Amino acid sequence: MVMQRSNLMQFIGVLAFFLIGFGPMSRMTAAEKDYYRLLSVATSKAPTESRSKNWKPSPEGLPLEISGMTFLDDQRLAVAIRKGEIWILDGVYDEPAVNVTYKRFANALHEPLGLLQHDGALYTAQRSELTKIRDVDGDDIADEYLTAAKGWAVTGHYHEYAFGPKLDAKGNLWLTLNIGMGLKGDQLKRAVPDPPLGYRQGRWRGWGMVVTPQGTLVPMCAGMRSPAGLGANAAGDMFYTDQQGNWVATNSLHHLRPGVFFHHAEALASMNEPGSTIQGVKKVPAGVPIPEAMKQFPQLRPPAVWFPYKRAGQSPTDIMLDTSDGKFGPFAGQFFVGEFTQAGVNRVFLEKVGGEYQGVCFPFRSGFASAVLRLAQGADGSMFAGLTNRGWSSLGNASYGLQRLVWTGKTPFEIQEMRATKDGFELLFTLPVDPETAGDPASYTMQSHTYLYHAAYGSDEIQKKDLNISSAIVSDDGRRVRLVMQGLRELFVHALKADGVRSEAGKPLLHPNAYYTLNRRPQ
Amino acid sequence: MRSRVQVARIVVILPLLFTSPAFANAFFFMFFLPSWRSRIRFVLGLSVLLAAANAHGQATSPPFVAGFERFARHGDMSLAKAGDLLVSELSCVACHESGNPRWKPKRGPTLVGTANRFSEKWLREYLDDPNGKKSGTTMPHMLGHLDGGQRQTVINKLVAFLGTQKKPFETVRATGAVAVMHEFWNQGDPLRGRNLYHTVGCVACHQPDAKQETNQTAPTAVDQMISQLDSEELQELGLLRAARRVASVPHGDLVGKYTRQSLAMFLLRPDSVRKGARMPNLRLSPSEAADVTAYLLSEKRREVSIKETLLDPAMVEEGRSLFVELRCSNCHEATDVTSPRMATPWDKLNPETTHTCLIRPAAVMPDYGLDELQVDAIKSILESDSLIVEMDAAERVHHRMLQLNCYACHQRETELTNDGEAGVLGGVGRYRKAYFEMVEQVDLGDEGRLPPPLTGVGSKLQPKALKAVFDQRTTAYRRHMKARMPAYHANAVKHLVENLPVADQAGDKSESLVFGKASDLMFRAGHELSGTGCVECHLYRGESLPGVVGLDLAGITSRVRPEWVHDFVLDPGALKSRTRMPTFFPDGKSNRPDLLEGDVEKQIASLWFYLKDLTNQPLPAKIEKVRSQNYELRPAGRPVVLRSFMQDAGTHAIAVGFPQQTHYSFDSEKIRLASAWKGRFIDARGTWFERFTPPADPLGESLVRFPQGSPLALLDSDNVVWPAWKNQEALYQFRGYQLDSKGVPTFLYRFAQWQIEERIEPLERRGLRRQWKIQRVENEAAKAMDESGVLNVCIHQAKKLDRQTTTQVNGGGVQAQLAVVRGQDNGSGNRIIKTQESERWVVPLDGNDQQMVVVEYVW
Repeated sequence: MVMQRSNLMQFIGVLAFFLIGFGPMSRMTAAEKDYYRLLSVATSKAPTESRSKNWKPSPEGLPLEISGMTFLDDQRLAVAIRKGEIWILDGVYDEPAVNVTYKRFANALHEPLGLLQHDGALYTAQRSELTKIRDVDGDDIADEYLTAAKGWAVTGHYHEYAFGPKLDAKGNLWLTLNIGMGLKGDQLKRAVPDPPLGYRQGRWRGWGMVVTPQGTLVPMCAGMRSPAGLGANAAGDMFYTDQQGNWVATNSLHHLRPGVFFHHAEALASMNEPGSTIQGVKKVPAGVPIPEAMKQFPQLRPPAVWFPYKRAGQSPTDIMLDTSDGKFGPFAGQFFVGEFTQAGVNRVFLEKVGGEYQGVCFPFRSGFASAVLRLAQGADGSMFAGLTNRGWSSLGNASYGLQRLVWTGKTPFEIQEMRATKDGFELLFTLPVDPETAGDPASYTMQSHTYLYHAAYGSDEIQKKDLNISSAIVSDDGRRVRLVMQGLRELFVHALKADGVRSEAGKPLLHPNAYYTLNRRPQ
Repeated sequence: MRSRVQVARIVVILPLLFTSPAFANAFFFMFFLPSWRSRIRFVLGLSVLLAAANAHGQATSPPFVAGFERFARHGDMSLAKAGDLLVSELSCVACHESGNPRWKPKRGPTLVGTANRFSEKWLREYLDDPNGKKSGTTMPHMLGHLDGGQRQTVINKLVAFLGTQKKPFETVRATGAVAVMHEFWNQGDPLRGRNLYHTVGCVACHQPDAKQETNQTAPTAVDQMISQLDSEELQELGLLRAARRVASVPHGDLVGKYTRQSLAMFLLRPDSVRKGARMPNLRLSPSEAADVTAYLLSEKRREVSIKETLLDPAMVEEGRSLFVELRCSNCHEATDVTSPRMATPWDKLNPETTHTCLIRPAAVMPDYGLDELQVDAIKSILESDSLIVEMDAAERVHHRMLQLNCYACHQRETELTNDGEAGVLGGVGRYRKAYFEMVEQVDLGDEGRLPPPLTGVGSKLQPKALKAVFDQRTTAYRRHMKARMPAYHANAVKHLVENLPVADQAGDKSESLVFGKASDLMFRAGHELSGTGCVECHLYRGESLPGVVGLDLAGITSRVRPEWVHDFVLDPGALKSRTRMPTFFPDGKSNRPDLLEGDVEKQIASLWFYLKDLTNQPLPAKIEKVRSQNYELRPAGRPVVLRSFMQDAGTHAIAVGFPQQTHYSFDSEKIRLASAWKGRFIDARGTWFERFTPPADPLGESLVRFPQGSPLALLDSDNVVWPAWKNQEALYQFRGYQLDSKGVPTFLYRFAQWQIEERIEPLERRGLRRQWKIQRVENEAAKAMDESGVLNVCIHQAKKLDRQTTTQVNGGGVQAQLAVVRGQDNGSGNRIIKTQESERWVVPLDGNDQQMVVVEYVW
């Protein structure tokens, strides 16, 4: 059928209208939201600033400052909130979530910072103990608050948060204990008496602890500053995140193992306590680069991943393992790490090299309504983010609440995995690459750096060096690229920028930056 | 014929279309139209529009100096004052040296870092025709006398030189309080940026977008009147000034000029580039700066990259010489340039010469494109005999406010003419009011949303507070306003800080001279008076009645001068016309004759002293009541539990409150009853919502504290020494608590081989009943803990105990009655064990597996 001329003109006009009108939009970089939609279940803004001494929640509704999350079943989500309550939410999967119901299950908890359904009860770490909470009489309201473990010091300093629990493959419940920050007055009376190396901290402050299936509290590893996130990988090995500050050069992710020391020297105050897994530290190096510090301090182990400050967040929190098997996109089996200050989520891929975990972090999603403190994966694979920024600050226009991140089904063009090789790195992309750009070494830049180990607050990136990428070899299926380069340095962060790479469809990477912590090179 | 013109027009338009998506869209829209005729008509209309738009874009106007445009053009300042302002704003004495401090040149932005800040294309276009590229620019054209080819050569050299002006951008520090995303300048949100631009204060000077929606509040009576009057009537009523539209400070071609990074960095720290501080620091966070950047550059299709051209060294050197020769360096900072070339000193200038900077500038002279009034204004001071007239403080303030355009936001009464006629200048003006909003949708009138008038501000604010207003670190005082007071470098506002108090004849009466001395009586009266009216509109250290949005009175005594507070409280309207603050002393009389003998002076003083000591004083009763409704735990029907830090019960405290108005705290670390009290229970706000975890304090009365020490012990029958806690600690294990159907907790713990359930509940309001149920445990763990000796329960403890009967012992303000001992005889073996620190009343239990002890405390 032949189109009439005027119709043809109209068609061209319409076409041009759309091409020009929306051209600029489509030419803009693809947005995170095209791949992962952010939905609000409930968010609120407090009338006071996040750091105000007079902080008050919104006069409307529940102060949903989520500090712990666990799914009770395919529908109901239990959340701990910072004022000390546990609520059971239903209807959180609704879109829009306008009929969410809230039922208070427990109260009178002292700043609970975790929540786990386990052994027919809800477990949460309060400031002074791990508590097992149950409803015995069947009215859906807790009437039993049993102490599952206690025994760490609480000097009364605000910074002595207790996080957890999370469950590892052996059935251990893990807890992490914040270090205190400059104890004063009565707080010092509750510190370890006559501590080694003169560090004034309460017992087990800065330590990772487990509660065994038999109910015994066991100290495992030390040197934590602000270990706000815990999470096990698919193998059931437990990890934690730490936050930049004194002794902590930048944010980090660590594998929790007995006898390992991470950063914060003041945790050595408990070195000589019965049960300690760290012994014989006589001197703590200070003011030396990390690789050198590790030579001088054998118990000091590098994190599996460093998150370069600002570039990969400012304050990591919870660790969520994607167990959705693809329902949450192409990153099954990887970690997602909450980000407080920048109100986002970063992504981590880990591999084992020489028997130890190391890996890479990528920016993943920004734009949450407030600080992301807790993450949990729903039955449909979507990610629930518990938000609260009180006491610190964050991006976003809310003070607290619950949001949900849903995969749109569209696969973003991302570096899915990055592995160390003998002579460089291998990248696996989520989509086939354009062989020309991906095969061009000029599409990539790489710079490595390390940090200083010292008592000061954070560290600059030091000993920066650009690496020369000599070749980029694209695999036959177009999904993998092998980067060959000189000048790799063990124990250094290797920052990759792959902004020249295009997908087969000509698209740039949604996130061209990746930060690989090369503790060991594969042999 | 006509159709050919039409076609020609369309042809001319076509390339233009692609400069503007909007027009392009409109153009192709014509294909929706049914016929060629209508399409042509449509395009004709479009071409007119486009021509108009282009004309608008390219229009030049004389240099834009905000104060001059707003006031001098309308006769609101003398010609000489207008000239004064132009001389500083056009930086005349950057070339024509003069010692007159008020002509201190504004100068242009620093050009150090040009190479990474501006696009090369824009730089070329701007040098080629400054006013054409940025209408109203105060930068004079320096190359106007050169023809096209010559001009391009000079531009090439200057650009080559400017290409050497590199300076890395400052690193923006991220902290727990400041989020800085990676390449934050690319992360902005144009919608948020648009809202910020229209609310934080940008549009006080710059052009608002007419499409921006505002929270239109009801117009004031004056606004309403103005809108109904014609200009003659306005003049008669002296309202012309208020009715006038205020012109906007031009932006120029931001899209063509800046990269996202350079604009975001400029918005974040304007004074690092423009040291003249005419563009103030709006206290944007990095993410806000990125948002505003995203909005201002939303038309940007492609990021301009600054071309990294290989700079020909010869060209660079020639450019460097030209930079000085053309006197660019007189106004612009650059690295590695020789000292500026000065021109004829100011006092040697002859305005009647044929070629001057003002009229018909000769080849090497700057061409500002001044209009007649501007020329006259500058001439008027050149021709004046009294060149260096010492300005008084008020004039200095006025001059600086004109330079910094403080008048864009603030009103201030000023002498308008040399013969002393005064009037109120400035303010956001009628047409911009709508962009000044309150944080919440509350109507406090203009007073609540517009920047405050500054008439008399020098006599109001204490010098330190005045200085602090400009400081970057000062947090907002009027937090209910969306508009922000910009921050200024101390040097930029030195004149204001120094001269405002003098200009406003601030008295320096001390606090004691104005108010006398503080006393408890004064504090109490001030507390009481605060509740009679102040609390309806003001906050007290962050606390307020529901829905109240206003100033927080905390800290007011260190901001405002005592005298001013006195006069204002006495008669608000006299100091601030149309204020919403009502008078509490009509006709100078107090309506509270019961307080301080109704003495008005004393009552005002009592408010001052109460507010001065506010951190230590109780909140006004009404506010306290609201606060407690939100955060005070009031057990009703069932007991209420709170775990917290407490003074007596330590860091493992469990407080339990009962509807019977009798409460206790339990120390779950040392497994002991720590304290008990009656009346109100506890305030939970600190525990629930305060980062620094203050201890929760009992609110009620009749507090009794129970001394520390192990509550249980295994003793030989003849042992009279009660063991110390630290030797017993390892025998205890706290196991939590259970709530019964009434919500009463029972604490569970182990002591050696014993499992204990301890339950404490009220005896109505008389006191507490405390019950231990004790059971021997037979499991392995318990056996490992098995200790020898007789289990003793300490049922009361005080510094001094006084036995009344075999079952009653008093001490520590408590009467303790042994009520039940089950599992053996009636506890007849109970005894008092004395040590130096305290005395214990203990009950030994026999070896039975099940025991129960009950004691009642009455106080």
